Amino acid sequence: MISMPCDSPGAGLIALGALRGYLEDADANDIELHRQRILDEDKKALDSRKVLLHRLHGKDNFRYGGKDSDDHDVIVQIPRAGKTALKNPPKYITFNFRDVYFEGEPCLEVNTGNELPYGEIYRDLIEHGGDVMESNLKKTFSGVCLAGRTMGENKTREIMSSIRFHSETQTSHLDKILSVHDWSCETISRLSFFNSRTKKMDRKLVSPQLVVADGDASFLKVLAEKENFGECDIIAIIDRTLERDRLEGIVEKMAELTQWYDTDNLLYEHLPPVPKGVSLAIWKKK
Amino acid sequence: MAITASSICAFLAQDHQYVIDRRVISSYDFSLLRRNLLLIIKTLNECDDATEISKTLRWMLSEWITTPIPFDEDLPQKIKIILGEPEKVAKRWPVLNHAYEASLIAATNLTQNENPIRIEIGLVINELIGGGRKFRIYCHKNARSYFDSIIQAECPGSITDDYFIHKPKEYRIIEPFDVLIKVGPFRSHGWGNCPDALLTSPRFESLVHFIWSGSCDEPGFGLDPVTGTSIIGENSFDKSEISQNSMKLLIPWKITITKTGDTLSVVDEDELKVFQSINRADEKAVVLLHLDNQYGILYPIRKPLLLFNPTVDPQHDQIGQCLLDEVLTMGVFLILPIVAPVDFGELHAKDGKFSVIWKKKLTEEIQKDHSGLCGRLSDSGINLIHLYSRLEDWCSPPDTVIPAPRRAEHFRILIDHLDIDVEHHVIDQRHAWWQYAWTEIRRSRGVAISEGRLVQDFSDENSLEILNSLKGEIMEKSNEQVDFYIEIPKGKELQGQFRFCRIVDMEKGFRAPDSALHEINDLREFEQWRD
Repeated sequence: MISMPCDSPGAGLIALGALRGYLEDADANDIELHRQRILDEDKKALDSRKVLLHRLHGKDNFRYGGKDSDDHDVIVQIPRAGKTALKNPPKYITFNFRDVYFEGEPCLEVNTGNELPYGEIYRDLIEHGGDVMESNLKKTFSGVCLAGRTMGENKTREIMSSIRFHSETQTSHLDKILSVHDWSCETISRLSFFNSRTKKMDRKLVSPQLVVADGDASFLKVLAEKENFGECDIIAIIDRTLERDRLEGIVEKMAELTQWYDTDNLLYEHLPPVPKGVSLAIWKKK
Repeated sequence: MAITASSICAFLAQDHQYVIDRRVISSYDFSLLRRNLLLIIKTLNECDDATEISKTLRWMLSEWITTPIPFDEDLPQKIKIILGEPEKVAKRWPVLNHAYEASLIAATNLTQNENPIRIEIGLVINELIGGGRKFRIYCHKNARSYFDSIIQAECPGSITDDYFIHKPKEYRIIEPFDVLIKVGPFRSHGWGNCPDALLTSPRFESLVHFIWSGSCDEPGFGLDPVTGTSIIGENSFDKSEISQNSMKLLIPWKITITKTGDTLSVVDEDELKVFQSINRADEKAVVLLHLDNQYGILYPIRKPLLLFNPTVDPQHDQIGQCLLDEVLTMGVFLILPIVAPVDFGELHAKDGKFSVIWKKKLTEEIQKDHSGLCGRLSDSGINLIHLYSRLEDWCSPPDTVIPAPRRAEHFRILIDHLDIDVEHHVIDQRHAWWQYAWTEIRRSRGVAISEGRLVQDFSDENSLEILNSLKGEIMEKSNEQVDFYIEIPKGKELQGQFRFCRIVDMEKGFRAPDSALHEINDLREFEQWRD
């Protein structure tokens, strides 16, 4: 838990740090989870399967169609939203899991030329940092989640857009670099987003490894969302210039959690000193 | 443009020596006045027929302790207006006779000299302006005039809004400056309240802090939500010490204490702490919603309110019952369902059918003998501190509400003294004339009565369904107006209107009984409920 001396885009910066860290990890992608999720569609009734899109088949809608006679997984074309029937007989397509994605969610993987264009900024972000794996810029990853402000997604994005990064040849704002699916025109995303106001995730996967909560109310919502965040680490960024009631809300919640959590002084001592005006507390499961 | 997080962090990163320069002021007469008024307040609080007087005295004393009021000739008069003439007090509460007389003597003595806190503040401001230092004053907006008069006396013509911070949200966006001035103890709620951030996230190097002897900071003030520790220690109540936490934690504060004024033989009590201990069981913590700069309404803190949020995407829930903390309150509309009272015919809040009559009569009476009317009303039981100016306010035409006394009893007394020809104006014989006029006033305050049921409390599906079906009209009106009505279409289960009032601010730190809730009133009316 981090308390800041003012309202800040701190949550975005921390999420960016985590995003940057996972760019060094060759396994930091959703491919296996995605494959499993599509196969799990087979357990559902046909008409309740989620709409799938194929990156090579434009605007056509599909759903998972099980195995064909050659034991290949297939997707089957379905009418688009608002239509009741197809004009022509439905297409059955054998497919590569990497080429299909769920409607409203980011693409799983893109070709060279369509990768996230912020490689240079990510590289320059940390002096003497590890190598950014080029392949990761082409693959979606949902291991880090940003839990936005309860005032809404727009307010979260607004404050993130107040920070700009320059590298030798690139300039971009934090909201873009974070690659949140709905904030960016890019087709892959390296950061999932939880809308604390509507309590909705921007994608359906297993719980992330880390969630960064932007603000006190967002933090409390994350704690309450045990299904999505019950197993992950949480970093909460709290503005301590808030009204007393809200500050006390956090103190009371933490007092309640002391039956399961202890402060982790050992880790605290191993961290570099926090900047003046910022305070930090670390809690770990007993 | 709002200040950036980078500039605040850069300011804090500098090697400042953060100092609280605490000036503790003592005055023999003020101490006497405080002690006797406190005794009166505590005693009257126990009398069921005098709790309102106790409350009003408490409000007045709390203001005197936390703001630099001038000790002018009005001081004894203010006490007299609340309690009445000494002979009457002696007769009604013999046990308070001595305390009341002592209070009046002390108040009269105080008028001989200027309030020492004002003198001290004047000296500090003079020095700061002379030295070209940037300073700010943290105070409630109602206390602004007291500071204005000090600045005006010291440095005529130099008053600007920039000197003042009235709310936490104003503090949050302020540029760093040199010195902050504050009067009254550090408290998170109620009288003299200020944000914890003054100490946990200073935008200044020095804080000149004026308090009366006996006043103590709230233990636990300067709370850091992450570590759960505070700048003002839990055990430092009597000494108002800075806790050790501040040294090892966020901001290392150094405190210097200067005592000035009379040497007292007894230690002053901390009235604000005493007041908290004598809160009545029928009062609960409430939040004051500011509907504009003049009017507001009280609600229980944890009560979900029916709100319309035009800033939300229309596809989402723009209308619904929410806790205020969960929504961005600026620009959100409070929805007050108003059902037309069957008994009282078709009255519209702003029509002012009855108010035209009594306001005309009141204006005439004021023109005839303002002071005389004031005295007669006061003797009859309207014990309001600013009654003289209130009478003028009540003459004003209907606006957001119909300006009028807050209590029905006060309104009845007022009407009784106006000698209105009720036979000429009466509608029917079922109710007294003043009751029709009072209903009109209450309706203008957003109070809805339908066969004895308070309609604000309804939360059934019907009302939400109706409201959602009217979303287009609501959206359109909300773009143009901050206070408007929408008629419930005919044929629905509910009949009447929905009133929409835009919330411009929210203030906590009030305790009030149920009878004071859910009514739109002048903001000044709510001061008596400040904790």
